[in-house]
Amino acid sequence: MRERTENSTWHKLDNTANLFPVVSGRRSPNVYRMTAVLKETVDPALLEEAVNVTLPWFPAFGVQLKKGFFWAYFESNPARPRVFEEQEQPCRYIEPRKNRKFLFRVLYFQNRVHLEVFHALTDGMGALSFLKAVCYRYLLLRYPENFSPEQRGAVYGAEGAGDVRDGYLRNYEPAPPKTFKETKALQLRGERFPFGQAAIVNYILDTGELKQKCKGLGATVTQYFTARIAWAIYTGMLCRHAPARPLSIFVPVDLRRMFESETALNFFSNIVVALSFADGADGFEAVLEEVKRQFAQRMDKQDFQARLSYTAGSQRNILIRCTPLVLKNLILNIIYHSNNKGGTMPFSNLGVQKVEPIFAPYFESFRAMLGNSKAEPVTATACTFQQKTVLTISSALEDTSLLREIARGLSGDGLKVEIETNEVLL
Amino acid sequence: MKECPSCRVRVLVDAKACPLCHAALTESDGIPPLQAYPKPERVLRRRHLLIRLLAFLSLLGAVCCIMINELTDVSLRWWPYPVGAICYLWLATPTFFVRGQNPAGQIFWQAVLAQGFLSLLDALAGGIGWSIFAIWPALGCAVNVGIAVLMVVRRQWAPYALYQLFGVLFGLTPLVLHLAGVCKTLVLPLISAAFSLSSLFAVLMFGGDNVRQEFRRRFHF
Repeated sequence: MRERTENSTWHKLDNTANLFPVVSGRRSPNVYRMTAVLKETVDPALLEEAVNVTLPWFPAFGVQLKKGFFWAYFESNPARPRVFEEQEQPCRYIEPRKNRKFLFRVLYFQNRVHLEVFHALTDGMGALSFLKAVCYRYLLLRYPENFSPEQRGAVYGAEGAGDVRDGYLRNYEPAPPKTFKETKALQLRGERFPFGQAAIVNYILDTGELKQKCKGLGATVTQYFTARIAWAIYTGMLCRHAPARPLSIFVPVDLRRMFESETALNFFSNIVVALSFADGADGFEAVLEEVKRQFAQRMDKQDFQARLSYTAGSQRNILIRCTPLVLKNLILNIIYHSNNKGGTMPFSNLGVQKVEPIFAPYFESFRAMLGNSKAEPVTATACTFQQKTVLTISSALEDTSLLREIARGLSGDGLKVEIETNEVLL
Repeated sequence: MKECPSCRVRVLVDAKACPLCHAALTESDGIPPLQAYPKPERVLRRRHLLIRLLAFLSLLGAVCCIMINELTDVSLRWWPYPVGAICYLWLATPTFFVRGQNPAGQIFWQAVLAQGFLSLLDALAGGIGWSIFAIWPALGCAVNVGIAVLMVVRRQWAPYALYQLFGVLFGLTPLVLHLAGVCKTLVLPLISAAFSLSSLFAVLMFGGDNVRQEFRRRFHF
């Protein structure tokens, strides 16, 4: 008798991923986008073939979400994903039933390849690995004459893609009970664009100039952008009025290098940079100094270990493990929505992206974008490739003062800034 | 390519004014603008007119039944029958139109809904218990036979094994109720229990490793 499970594999959701299926929906899609900008227009047929050839090497992506009695899990998805031209708003909710049960989608628009991923699958670093591998295969198919037969037969970009072990549980260490209660932060509010739209601005900077500026200020690029965003919120959206609650920007940190893990699943933690403007502000430089101080204080492996033990510990608790999934989801939903005010907005810097040297001439840049949600109407990401650093802000709010102040802050620092926007702002 | 003199940025897209501050743009060089994003098609969530009409008529019908009953004959409360039927239809019908549903899950869900509705009618009619000693065992047999037929026709065990287990529990419940003294008769609950256990044994014996794998995945904790 033909059996579905004969060749199907499965793996558990990682510690962070358990939350996303519970709290996600049309208003909070928890979808992010990675973009590879190539130098020539994309061929859709070849792109789809590249996705289908690459997918088997990435078991974290070729899956469908199933509900168990105690926990949800991922099972391999035998369907073949399709590739579509981008036509709608980025980072829309991914409905498995309308997407052949996949939790990611690959889109193209002119010379751009987009990978939109539901956060339960993996984090930004995992997604970038898959995107690069797809692009490598695409380029081998598109320009076969430029590569040797050995290169065309090789698999590029799949290192570590097969590791679907939960990094949180593997690095769990029993620790004394400790709670991590976050102070309520300022929430960005205002009229939203209709129909779930968001304004997207890509600020394109020269990497060399940016690094020089940051060096002069004694800060990293992440610290500089964090301070710039915070300052723009204070001067633009708050008009220098002191908010009652601190402005908290949470910055995801990739834990793989710190804990020597190669997992293809989620494995990150957050630093929360909380800035109080209750007594006003002494200028951007003072904000930057405070950001630097908090980064130095919080980028501590022991602190991350304690947080990891706290979140992974709850998953190991026997009472929680034995609770049926229906009840667990209900409780998780209540806890999530009642405690979801600890951050103002996220800012994720994916750092410097490298590609295989033989493919480097075909890439122009990389972009990243976090989707908006009811709780996070504004998100920020940054990504660097060769001489281009792109800071992307996505805002569901009609008030463009934050977008304007960021641009003026960057150009005011002497940086050459180019911007791309979507139709919402035009 | 154009430049905004206020924001001091170069605008790469085709814009009449600065997208950030709406100031007039100055021409900076002859490089043509690019299009970074397509003009999105508005995804309007179309709530079908027919569904809205049916929902309105259902609510109207329910309200009318309650009003007529309360205004004419309060000694006999009959409005729970039509209101219960409306609720049952609204719960039972949508599953047929949702894509990608597990058919075994649909069979089980329909049986549970039907049992719930008929129990309500039984309770309203005086609580004789026909829904428990007659209907429930019949539905229990139907669920187990239905899922078994599905397994044979589709030639697959594992996708339906979990719902088969639920169907077995559903089919065993009348016997448990009899043992607890809730249900007085034995014959039909016993037949339902026999059907349920037989289908469970068949799945366990013929399903083999695949069924065991499926249960291991579904019940991992």
